[in-house]
Amino acid sequence: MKLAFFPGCSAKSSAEYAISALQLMKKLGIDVFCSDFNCCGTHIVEEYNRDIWLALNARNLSIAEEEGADIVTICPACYQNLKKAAILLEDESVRRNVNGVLASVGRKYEGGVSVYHVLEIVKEFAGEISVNSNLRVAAYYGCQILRPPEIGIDNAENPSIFEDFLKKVGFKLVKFKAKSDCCGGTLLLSNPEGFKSRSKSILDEAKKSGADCVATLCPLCQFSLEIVQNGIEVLPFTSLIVQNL
Amino acid sequence: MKCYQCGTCTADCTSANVNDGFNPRRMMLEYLEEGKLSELCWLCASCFKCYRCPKNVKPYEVMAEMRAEYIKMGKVPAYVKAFVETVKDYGELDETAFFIKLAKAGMIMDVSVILSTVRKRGVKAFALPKKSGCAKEVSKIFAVIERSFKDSLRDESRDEEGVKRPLVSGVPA
Repeated sequence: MKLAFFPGCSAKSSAEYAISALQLMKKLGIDVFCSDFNCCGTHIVEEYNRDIWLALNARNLSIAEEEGADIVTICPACYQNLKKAAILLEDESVRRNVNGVLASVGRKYEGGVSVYHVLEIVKEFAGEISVNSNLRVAAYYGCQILRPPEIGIDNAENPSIFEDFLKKVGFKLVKFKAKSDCCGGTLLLSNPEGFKSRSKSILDEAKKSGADCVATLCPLCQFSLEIVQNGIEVLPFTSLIVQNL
Repeated sequence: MKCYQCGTCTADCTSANVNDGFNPRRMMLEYLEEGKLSELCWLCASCFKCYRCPKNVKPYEVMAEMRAEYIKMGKVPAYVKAFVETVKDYGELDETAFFIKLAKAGMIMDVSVILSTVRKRGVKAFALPKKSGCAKEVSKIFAVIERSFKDSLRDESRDEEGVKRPLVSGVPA
């Protein structure tokens, strides 16, 4: 399998997540490469102009297609936007319209590129990863990797994919009640105090659960939790693995 | 309307938890039955917890529709405008460019956010804005679509040479 790596804009603030995700995938022998991707637009561009949002995502999908690759991203928001667009672009008439726009930048999308979150990829290699660590980990999903349910990678109400994977590679997991609560990171600009109280409640819950650290899988969650840190370490899950191999 | 007013969406809402008056059940009812918009829609956290709805109503989508309505009217919070313009000009959300646009609009980031960014990124936190390699293609995509859809948000004041004007105007106080 050939994979185009889509770090997403938030990866700049969580560079260690992007770097460790690449390291881990390369270590596992996965054929992954970087490319000239644009911003997924997020719901902000989608609401501003849905056609632009779709065309921006189609451009990204067309780049992967040109390389005969699927896309792997570390960011659940990018995952959601790319996947939603990929589903819409399976419709031939939608694709025809969008290709009319892509033609202006010399590109074309034929369809069929799959979009994955990095967890979905590396979990298939769980048997080949073995960590040397006694850390008790709170696995934190956040929102957009699970919801909306038709896009999410596991059961939105009772997910286990993340804990199952971390257990398999050798970590001890704690029962973490706040695992799929929202960190409030999207309120960072509109209501900073509200955002901080949400993020803080997640870390407080992690402390109560007896965890030594929190594993994240979203760059924005990582950024948000670090801002309100309460002494408990917060790490992207790929960094946690790479550091303990 | 399918909604039977059980309030599940509101009981579990991230934003209702931290924003006074944010009540998705009531906001949806007033919008769908009376067409009443609420500026609180900008405070939705996009966490999709409201998709727990037993009647399979999607409150998030109603919030998104309200936001799109405001955008059509040109009533857009400064950060939304800055976000769209940054992506349009830089191809990605270049953080420095975004923060400068925010500051120009009078929006200063929370101190703890700035400190955390500096702590993490070190000197890179002060990097100059830099266009991504795809910036030209992205700007072109914006331009082509904005020109071709009359009902989109095309700025009517844009002149023949395509001189740049603000994408959207009328930022609410």
